[in-house]
Amino acid sequence: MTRFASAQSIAHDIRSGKRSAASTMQAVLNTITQHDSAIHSVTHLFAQQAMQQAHAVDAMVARKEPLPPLAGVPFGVKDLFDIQGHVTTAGSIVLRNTPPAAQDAALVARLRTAGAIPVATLNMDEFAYGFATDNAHYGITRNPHDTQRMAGGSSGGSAAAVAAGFLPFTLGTDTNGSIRVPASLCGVWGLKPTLGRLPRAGAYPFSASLDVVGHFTGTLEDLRNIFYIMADTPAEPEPQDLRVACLGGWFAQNLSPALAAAISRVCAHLGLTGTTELPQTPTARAASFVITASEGGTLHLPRLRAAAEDYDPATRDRLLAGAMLPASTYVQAQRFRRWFREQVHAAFEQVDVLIAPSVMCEAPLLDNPTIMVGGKPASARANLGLYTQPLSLPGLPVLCLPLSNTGTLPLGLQLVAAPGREAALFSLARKLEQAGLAGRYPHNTQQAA
Amino acid sequence: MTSPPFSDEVLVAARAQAMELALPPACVAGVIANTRVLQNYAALIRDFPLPDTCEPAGDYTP
Repeated sequence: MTRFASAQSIAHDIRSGKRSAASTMQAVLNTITQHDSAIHSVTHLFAQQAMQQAHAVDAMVARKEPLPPLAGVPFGVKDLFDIQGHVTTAGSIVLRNTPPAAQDAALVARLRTAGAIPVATLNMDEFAYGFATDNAHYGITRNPHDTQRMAGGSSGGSAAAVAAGFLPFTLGTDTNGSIRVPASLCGVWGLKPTLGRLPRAGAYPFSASLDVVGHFTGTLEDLRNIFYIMADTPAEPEPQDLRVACLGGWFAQNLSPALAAAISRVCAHLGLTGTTELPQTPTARAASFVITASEGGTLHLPRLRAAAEDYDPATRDRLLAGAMLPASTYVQAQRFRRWFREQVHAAFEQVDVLIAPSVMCEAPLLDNPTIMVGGKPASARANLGLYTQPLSLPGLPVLCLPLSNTGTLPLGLQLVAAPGREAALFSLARKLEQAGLAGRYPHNTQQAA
Repeated sequence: MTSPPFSDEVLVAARAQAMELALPPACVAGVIANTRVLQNYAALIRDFPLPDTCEPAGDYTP
């Protein structure tokens, strides 16, 4: 049984000889082949190559060679990470005639060195522009916990594949919330590391000054261990005495009752009373929105001039509007970003970790994609990033954890730290997990031991 | 926020013309709608006072 198994347990079983890498890989491929049609998370399977690499791991085991930490562990990538020999589509048909990648993306290469095996590319919003994983070319990824509901985006295939138990971990990217939103809606762990901490080489860009590469997992231990493997650094000591504060103001509005209650339980456990606020949060969200539109639009403008009709209409119209923004608006957004960053850094002189909701409610229905904002129904696609976008602007590390026992479909919480302080996030997440307040959302399929 | 002196339709057409960008008819309505959203966000940023010494953010060097 490999479905729902963690990377840690898969690696242990292969290392100990309990099962072979090839049988593990075959089971993973079988699971995806049998079950992905219900959620449509996968866009391409590297079945043959993955089996060859799994056999190579088994040969190492037979020769009693030392194994790297993730030997034989399967993983998937958002369809914008280069896989050598494969055309990177970035969720579009626009790039279909580009040459196959000459080499793996930097993160994929590091994971291969660690023994992990790429198995699949995973669905996304076209060019990562969206929160829905509703793709005109490759279809809609559905939430594994209720297939009538959104998985979130833009890394929706990556979150759904972990939530469905297909793969123990997957790669995604986060510009405005594209890891945190789907992690929250699908009930898995997600990490948006500090801007610039992990190499982006070979990950197709969207908004160069905001893009961050990260990952999804089913367990906190995998989230932590795989982060340090991808960062190519030893695991850092985790601080135990953390100063924690709950963000209020903007981040306390529009919460569903279940989410408000869950956050109250977290605050009560941590002994937090009251909240703290970040200044000018709506403007921070606006700046993130404008920078993304302008950088993304400018990136695609030459192709939009030549072949606008090849784009997903929803993406195309946003990119064109962004490309036509005046330079003064973009520069002012980047100036505001500098100011906001300084305010946020100052806030971290008083606290180690801030907590905030990831998304205000459960996954919206696909046939009624609205959420309540200001007491009124509003477009989910436009507003699912309400709490993630302001926190994207400074470049802080953010861990999205799945809240436990909410009595609802998955709900997520953001843990936010000062730049480079991912270790503080892992430490607080562990405390909340041990207290029974955080953990992967249950799935109706029997989970592997 | 002060209303623009001309419509979003005129604004989008003027910006496209200035960039020598031929907007396909199928996307004009969508571009106008998205421009409207961005204009609201741009106004928030424009109206926030910043000192002249506040430089645009570049690479993240915290």
